[in-house]
Amino acid sequence: MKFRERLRVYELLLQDRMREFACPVHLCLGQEDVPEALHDLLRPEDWLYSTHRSHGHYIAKGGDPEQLLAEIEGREDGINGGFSGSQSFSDPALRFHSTAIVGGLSGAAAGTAVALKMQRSNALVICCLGDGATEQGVFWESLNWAVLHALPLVWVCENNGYSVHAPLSERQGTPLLSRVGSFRATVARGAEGLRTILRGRTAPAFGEVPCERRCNHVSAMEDLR
Amino acid sequence: MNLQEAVRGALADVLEDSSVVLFSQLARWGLGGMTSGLWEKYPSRVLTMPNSEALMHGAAMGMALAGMRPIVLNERMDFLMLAMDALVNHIPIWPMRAPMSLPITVIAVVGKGKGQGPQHSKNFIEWFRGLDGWRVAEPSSPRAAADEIKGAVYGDRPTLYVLHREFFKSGGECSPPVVDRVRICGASSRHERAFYEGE
Repeated sequence: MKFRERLRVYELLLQDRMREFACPVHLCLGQEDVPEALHDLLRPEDWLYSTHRSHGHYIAKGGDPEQLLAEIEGREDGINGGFSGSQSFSDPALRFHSTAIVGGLSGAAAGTAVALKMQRSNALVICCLGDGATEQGVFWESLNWAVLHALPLVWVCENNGYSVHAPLSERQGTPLLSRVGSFRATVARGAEGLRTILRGRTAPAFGEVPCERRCNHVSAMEDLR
Repeated sequence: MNLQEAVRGALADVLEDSSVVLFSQLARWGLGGMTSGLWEKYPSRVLTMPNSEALMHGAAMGMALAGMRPIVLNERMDFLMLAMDALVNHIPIWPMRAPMSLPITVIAVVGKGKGQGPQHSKNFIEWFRGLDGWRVAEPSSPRAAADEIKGAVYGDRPTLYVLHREFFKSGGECSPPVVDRVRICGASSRHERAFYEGE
């Protein structure tokens, strides 16, 4: 089975079992393009910083779906022994870290990129974020710094048009990509654009991939709205 | 040797290790003498940072995860408030998730008080003492100041290292003020008198 189909089957299984999980669970149904590109083009030495909606990114990086399920279930054989849950966990051996704070790992991604440059490493840092994270100050702070020092950092923005239920049109006044481009980072749009960045290992760069979330924002949230 | 010279000497010592990085807005250009001469000797690891505290402290975490030993310098502790997401929501939580070394040293200077105003003189040390995941160092002599820098940089956990501007020129034991709560002092000379002299 192709990667994106395996991912979809996995997420549908979680969706069926959602009421069994104590932790908030954000599925990536409909947002398979980015995980698929990461799966195809990342190298083991690369770093991946991710978001609350991280299952696809994690499995793409080589994470074990069974261990992720154990983490979601709060079991001791989970990635972080059940401490972290679905929306924010770390797998240091895999160079994978995610956060439930929107945009919260922008600075960490930039710091790792500086370290890699000092260590003369060929590894790349990927910082996944959603459209909402581009409204955080620390994202722009990090972008400024990454361009200034030509850091090996690629932002991957999955733009699903919503921050929970709030549409992009009520949150941002001008198109995102032109603002990022004005910093003179390489920018590209769509899954193919992202693949071109990753294939060429172009950095600093920003890929915006429009996508449609085909599930609730979190868990069985419609019940709570 | 006074406190400021001890700090500078300890920073010079630890910078001999190529995994140590020292950064702040003014690490190169001068911070009360604490960093003088260090950029000239280690230009690639003494970094000028933009005025971006959220980035600075997040970056410290990212560097430490990648095997470096970052030291972040804050000229006033008040400025940490711009970095609280990294300092509270990220750095202390990471070593609880999985075994990892996170040798981050955050140096913060508490302003001298009188005349510094309410945004350059606050002392938040008790907040960090009450927060899981942080080691707090508050050296009270030049000797302790040097030892604590080495302990923090070569330790494996995040350390908030607090200096008091009023003791920079002190050569002996000093007594950091005991604070039971964060005072928003310095709003006026009347307020300062009340805080510092117990009016």
